[in-house]
Amino acid sequence: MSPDEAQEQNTPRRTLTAYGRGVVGGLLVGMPSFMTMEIWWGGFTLAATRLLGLIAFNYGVLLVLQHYSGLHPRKTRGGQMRAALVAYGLGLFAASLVLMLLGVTSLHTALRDFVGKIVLLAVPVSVGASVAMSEFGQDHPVTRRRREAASYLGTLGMAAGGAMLFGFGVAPTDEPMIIGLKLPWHHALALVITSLVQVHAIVYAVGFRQRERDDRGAMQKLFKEGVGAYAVALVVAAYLLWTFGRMDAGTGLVACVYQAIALGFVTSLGAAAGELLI
Amino acid sequence: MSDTDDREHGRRQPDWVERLATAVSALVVLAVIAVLVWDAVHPDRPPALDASSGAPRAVGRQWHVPITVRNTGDLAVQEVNVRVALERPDTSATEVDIRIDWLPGRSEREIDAVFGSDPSRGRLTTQVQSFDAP
Repeated sequence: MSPDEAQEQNTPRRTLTAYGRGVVGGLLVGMPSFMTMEIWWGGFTLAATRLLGLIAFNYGVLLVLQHYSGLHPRKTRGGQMRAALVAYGLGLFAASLVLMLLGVTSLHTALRDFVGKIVLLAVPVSVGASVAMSEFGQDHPVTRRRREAASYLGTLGMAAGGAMLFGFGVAPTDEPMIIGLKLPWHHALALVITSLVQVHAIVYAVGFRQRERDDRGAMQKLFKEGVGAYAVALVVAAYLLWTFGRMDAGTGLVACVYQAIALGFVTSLGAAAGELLI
Repeated sequence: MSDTDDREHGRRQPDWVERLATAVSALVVLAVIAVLVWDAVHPDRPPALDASSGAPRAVGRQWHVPITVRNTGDLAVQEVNVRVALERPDTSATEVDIRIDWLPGRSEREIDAVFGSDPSRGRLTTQVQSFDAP
């Protein structure tokens, strides 16, 4: 048997290993969310349309993550689309099982309530599963190459993945809303400046220095990446707050902005470190 | 992703585990989407709450009465207040107030009301007094 044939026969085992690694990586990221009551409540309080929107948005994030890291080592376009689907499927499966184990759901739980809960909790698990390869040191040479040669848009895509990873567990809780509603304007401004500083510090530390040290426009690019990552962090924060019903037609514009700034403090960390995380 | 990546890493077809996992995941995701779409297109019935009591049981020197609170509507409610009143033959009365944080649509919760005397010797009434529809 040639080495190629041996590898071909080994492929199902390799796939099973990748999925097992994905479940562990997903639980590692998703476990705090399993212990968050506000997410359980979201299962029956959130409108079905918002949950459907979240499934679509999350699938987009998973596709980006499959491109730069991934659940499965098959790095073709089709392989990545399949891996994104399986990552969410693993998330739904793991969420069903863990919620049953924790006694949060039972056979008496209403179907819509159960589906709402697993749709929400599958999000952090699927994101964790999708960065499992790099998380566990099984980085693929193709994904490494892609990250090193990532375009500006690609960098922002990774930032969105990192922002989801950090922000999802915090967005449904009361804290970002309470902080946002209590913020005086000068604190809000200070929070924006602090977030921007931490974003630039992380972007610089993560690898910008090596990549761009010989480039005369390095500082300009650093600024561009940093501001871009913060903008993505704010958009993801606002989207998550809207999904969890913290921003609605009845919420004032200033309250919406201040809540996004408060949660943006958290999501900006993930957005800036996106490249490092995945 | 470049064409080179496709050529370098796309030669092998997906194995049976990958195919199976993709098919099962697609089915599960479609089922979940179907439930949500069904819920989205159906008009929600407003919350409808009622409370009923079960058979009392003696626990030590106290009597526990299981109170079941049902929400037969589609929408969840929070801060549900239920009053359980026990009127004895001598016209004296004891009231127990129960509060439930959340009650999802088409769901029920069971909570025990605790009395110091046998409730079966009097008249027990349960009434949902208030709730918040978020």
